[in-house]
Amino acid sequence: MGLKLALIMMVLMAAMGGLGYWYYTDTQERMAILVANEAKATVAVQEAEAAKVAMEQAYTEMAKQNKILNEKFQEAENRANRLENKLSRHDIGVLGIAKDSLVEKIINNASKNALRCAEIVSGADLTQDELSASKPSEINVECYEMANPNFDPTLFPTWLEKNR
Amino acid sequence: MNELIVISLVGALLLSGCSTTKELNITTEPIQKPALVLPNVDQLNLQDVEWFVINEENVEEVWQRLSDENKDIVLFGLTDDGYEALAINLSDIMKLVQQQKAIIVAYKDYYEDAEKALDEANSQADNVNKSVEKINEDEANKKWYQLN
Repeated sequence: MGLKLALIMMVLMAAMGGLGYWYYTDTQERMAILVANEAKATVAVQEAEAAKVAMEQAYTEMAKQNKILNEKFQEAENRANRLENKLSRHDIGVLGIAKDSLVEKIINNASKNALRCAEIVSGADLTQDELSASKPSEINVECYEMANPNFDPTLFPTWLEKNR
Repeated sequence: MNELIVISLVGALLLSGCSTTKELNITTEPIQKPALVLPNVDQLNLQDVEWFVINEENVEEVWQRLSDENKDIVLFGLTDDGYEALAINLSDIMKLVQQQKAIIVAYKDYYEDAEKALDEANSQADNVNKSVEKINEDEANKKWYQLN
């Protein structure tokens, strides 16, 4: 009877021990997984944060590009408006009758300048003269914003007023 | 007694077996697009155009000029309004080209800068991934008695 009881107790103890060991290892595994999960969640948060920063940078860049684009559009608009204003200020028909040689010279110069503007828009390099031009008499009046980067029209208010 | 043992074992198994811990898997793999390589447009090299202003008084003089310069005695004419329209049309075409060029440059700059920002974000994420992998490896290599 005593031996039987001892045997049962031994089996019971072994079973309890096994159960304890299994419970312990299972818990440890779960803990390891939870630690790894926490680390991965941290990565996910950091990646989301990085993505947010990247998006913010993209929006900032977009705003910057829009601003530059608007400036370029305004520059193109101003150039076109200048020509229209110039043509509306002068009656070239009347001038052509009264001063044919002068008008011929003016429109030939203007055409030459306008064609040069088209070349510059297509990517042609600026010449040394164009680069160094800083006075109204040296510039390409048709597109000085593109052709003469060193010309500052605000330094010549009278000229600017006449050529708006 | 035996029943008690069996019930205890089965009960323990049932209680602990019901709960599971799933491993969280997060994978991030940025896809790299190949860079777009395009040829540049041709640069214009335009020929000079010569304008003649002709009125009632100088018409003979202009014919003479053409003759002296060995040019064909013919002119293709525009009225002053026609000339103005041509000048404005050319100017509008130029404006369009300028605008298109500005848009292309804006696209290029935007995507290049955005690419740079994304690269930085990816590299940051890579660094974090590496450090987490290291933590995981360290955890995996820990002995049972070191786990807490």
